[in-house]
Amino acid sequence: MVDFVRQLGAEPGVQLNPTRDESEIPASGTSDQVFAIPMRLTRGRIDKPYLVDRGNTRRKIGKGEPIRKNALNEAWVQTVEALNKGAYQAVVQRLVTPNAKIKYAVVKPAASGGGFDFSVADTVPASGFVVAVKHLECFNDGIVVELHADENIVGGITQANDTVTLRIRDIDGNALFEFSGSLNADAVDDYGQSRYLSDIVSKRTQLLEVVTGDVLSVASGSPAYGYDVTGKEKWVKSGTLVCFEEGGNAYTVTDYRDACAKLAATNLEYGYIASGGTQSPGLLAELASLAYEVNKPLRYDVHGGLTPEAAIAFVEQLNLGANPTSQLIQPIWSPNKSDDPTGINPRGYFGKSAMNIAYACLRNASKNSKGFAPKNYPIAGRMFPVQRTGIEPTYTPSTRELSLLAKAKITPVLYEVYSGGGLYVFRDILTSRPTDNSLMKLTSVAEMAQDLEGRMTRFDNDIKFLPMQIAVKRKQDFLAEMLADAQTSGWLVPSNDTRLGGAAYMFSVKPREDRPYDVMDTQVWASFDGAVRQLFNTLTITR
Amino acid sequence: MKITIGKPVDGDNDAMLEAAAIAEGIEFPVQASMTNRMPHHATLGGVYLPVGDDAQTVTFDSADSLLRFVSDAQQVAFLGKHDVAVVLALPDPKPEPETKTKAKVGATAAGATAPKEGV
Repeated sequence: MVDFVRQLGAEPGVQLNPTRDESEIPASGTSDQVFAIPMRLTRGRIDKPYLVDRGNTRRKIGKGEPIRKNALNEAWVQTVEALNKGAYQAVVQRLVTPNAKIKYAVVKPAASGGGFDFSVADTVPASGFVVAVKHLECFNDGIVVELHADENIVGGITQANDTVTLRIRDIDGNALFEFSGSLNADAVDDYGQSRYLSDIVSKRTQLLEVVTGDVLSVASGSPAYGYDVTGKEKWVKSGTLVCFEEGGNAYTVTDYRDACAKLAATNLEYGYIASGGTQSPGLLAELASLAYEVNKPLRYDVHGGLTPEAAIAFVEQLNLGANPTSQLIQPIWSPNKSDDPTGINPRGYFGKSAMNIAYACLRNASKNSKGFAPKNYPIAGRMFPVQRTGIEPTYTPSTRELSLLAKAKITPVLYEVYSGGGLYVFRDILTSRPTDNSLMKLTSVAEMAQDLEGRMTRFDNDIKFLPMQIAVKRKQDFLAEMLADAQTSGWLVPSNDTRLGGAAYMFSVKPREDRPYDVMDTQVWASFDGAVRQLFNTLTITR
Repeated sequence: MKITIGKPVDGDNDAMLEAAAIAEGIEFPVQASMTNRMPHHATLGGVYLPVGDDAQTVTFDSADSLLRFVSDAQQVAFLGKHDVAVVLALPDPKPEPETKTKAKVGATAAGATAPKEGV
């Protein structure tokens, strides 16, 4: 008996309200340690993006295939490398054409002998089967299906069993799924919950669909029933069932657009967009649109085998400077060959844009006490050397070419000498913003600005639908704290703008004059710290 | 056979249809020559195409790589608003005797090396 009630009526008594929490501090989360990438894969669902981390790459995105076989396979190399060098997770959307087809693995009773036949079918058969399995992870190399039924002894006599165990393995024998359930749609357990195999599968995973047929039990004499003479479970096992047809790689702009639209719509959060080494103007144009839509930085590769003139032509034909968020886009040209970081290819050109993103993810993981990562340190130079083996330059641009590359906003990856030795480094920090003398041309400023914008919009969602006065007050308090913390973290510096009067930032939050009942306007002015690209030294010898 | 690639007009994708039809009749890998008709330099399929330069050679390792190239060239034409961006000249298809075709299918089934696909 408790000494209170939750809702007091007219009677005397004590009402205890639910505990109120006003201690919440907006959390920045880990999304800025995650990148998104659309890519050609040999494994992975095709209907929506999914998360991959370094522990499940083999399972989720398959084994890599050589770039020699298909240039699109570079995306796999870059993704695996990025996950091993600092990216926490990747949000992957598999590229497919409309010709891609997912088929069913069907288990049927054999025509003779009491065993089972396994086959692949475009649709679920009308009748005469035990189960049909649709594997949505779409393995190009196929799956193996196994079936077993435990002994069902009634009154000392073995009877047919409607409860089966279904196991799916990859072709290397690694177990992917195992479910036990009844082939009878009305079966329930002791708690009244459905024990029907299809229900059990759909409750536990979205990666598999199981349809049961009109064969409702496994007979006692079946090779899938009970135990063998050594006491081991008897299983029937298929050969390799290739249930996914990739449908070729003739991707068109429509396919790229579909993939990017799925990355824009996903609930999975990410902080960067990687190109995976694609040289397709169609995909890059769509990625640039995605960067605008989700306001996240995009880093892409210009093939290392191109000359500076060809690299500049490649970048300029994309006209990404015209993108409204061109400050989020950074092309990277790496004219050197290296060993394959994943070991499946011979030495060759492997883009380094995903590596740059991985370094940014790792940098973002070390936040200060205010929750701010050192994003004022751009990913370039001595602090972020290229971690590859066997790097061999294939082209050494002249100073004139380096200047042309900078004018085209291309970051080259080149060898530079520092105190203590030489390193291959990202040798610039320019965004694609078509400006010569503005903070927006610096990747660090673009990242810091995008971070603050993300914090503001996330907080706006938290206060949406609150009473106007409370919302305005909360937003003001939030901005005052966020911007002060940004300045403390070295992101913001005192401004030369007379409107700010020497402050690093200024903001205004108020209901909109013409629609004061439901619209709130926020304006923020902030002065970011830049990063040094050019250093001039003069030594004058005096008397 | 020539394919003229420009920006798609009203969603019309003639160049893709032409390329798909041509791809059915030729053997890959295939070398094609391409000419830049745009008023600016370009780099397509890993090949640099300066303005006003002679035709350059590009290799397509499969029908898929040819179709991807045409789609990409269309995108560049679309971004630059070019009615004609690139002219691609492919060799004429060679009709083959039926027996030869059958022999080739058999060789692939026996495990011939899969062709490389381009960018």
